[in-house]
Amino acid sequence: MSQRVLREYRRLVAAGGAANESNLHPTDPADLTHWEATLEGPQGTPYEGHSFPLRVTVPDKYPTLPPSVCFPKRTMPHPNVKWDTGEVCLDTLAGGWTPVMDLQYAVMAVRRLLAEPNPESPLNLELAALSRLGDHKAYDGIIKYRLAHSSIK
Amino acid sequence: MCNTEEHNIETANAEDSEERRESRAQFQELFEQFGRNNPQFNPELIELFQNMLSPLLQSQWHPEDREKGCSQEFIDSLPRVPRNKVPLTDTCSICFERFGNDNYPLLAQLPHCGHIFDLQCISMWLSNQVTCPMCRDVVNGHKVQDLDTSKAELEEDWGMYG
Repeated sequence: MSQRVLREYRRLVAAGGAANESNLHPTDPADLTHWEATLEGPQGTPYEGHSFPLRVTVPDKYPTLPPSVCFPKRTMPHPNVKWDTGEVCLDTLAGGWTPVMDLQYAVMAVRRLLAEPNPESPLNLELAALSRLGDHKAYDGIIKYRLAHSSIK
Repeated sequence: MCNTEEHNIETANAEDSEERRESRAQFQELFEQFGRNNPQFNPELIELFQNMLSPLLQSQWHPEDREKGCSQEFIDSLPRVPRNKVPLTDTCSICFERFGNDNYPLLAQLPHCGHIFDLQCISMWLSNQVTCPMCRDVVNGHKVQDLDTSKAELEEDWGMYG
């Protein structure tokens, strides 16, 4: 495990809760390879009023390699999230990653993705198609329906 | 550089006799089958063997291995920054450690964009990448300023005919 993630942990603790809106924290402080965060649905989006747990996994080669993030399966209806697995497609966490970014940055990027989906690289074809067609009513409707019937409120 | 390499490969192919090309293809197939993707073989041995191939063949068979990072020579040639030239409270943006926490930090500065990192940290990144982690400047994309030969020739012509 790299010293880097330990320094990130210390920074987060030192900065205090207010600086950590998404409550990013290690699942087990003795491990630091598995982290959790909670994303609040951005205002003005169909996600508003819901909060979403996000799992963050730190690879051995972090920060040369990006952390991987995942929503619990079948909880996040979003064009760039695979519904059945919770897998997230986000350039920041793939080719766009550089080691000056950190776990908090990664979580913020996912939160931004909730407000700004990118229908050009879809993992949820149904939602991406509706978004591209500009059918906002159906798009929002499906997301709200899924959220209402998801186990996470 | 890429173009020259492709050109070389083409030339090499054209010069090959049919027979040689065929045995080379067979050899490549065997190599793929028994070497590269077979976990039974010692990866060090495979790498050693791969290095024994001519660079031309290496790049032809595994084009994905090309241009995947900066050369060790490039990384070694990065200018070092003396400790007293950086604020000691600055941190390396890759490991988040203060430069001042190390009594003998080895710091390297990237050409052009000028960003400074621990040599060890930036080496690890550049061995697989070619961009600055801060600003994505393509670090090895800047050529030493070419002499503008077109103009020189033009002037020469003027001299000849003028």
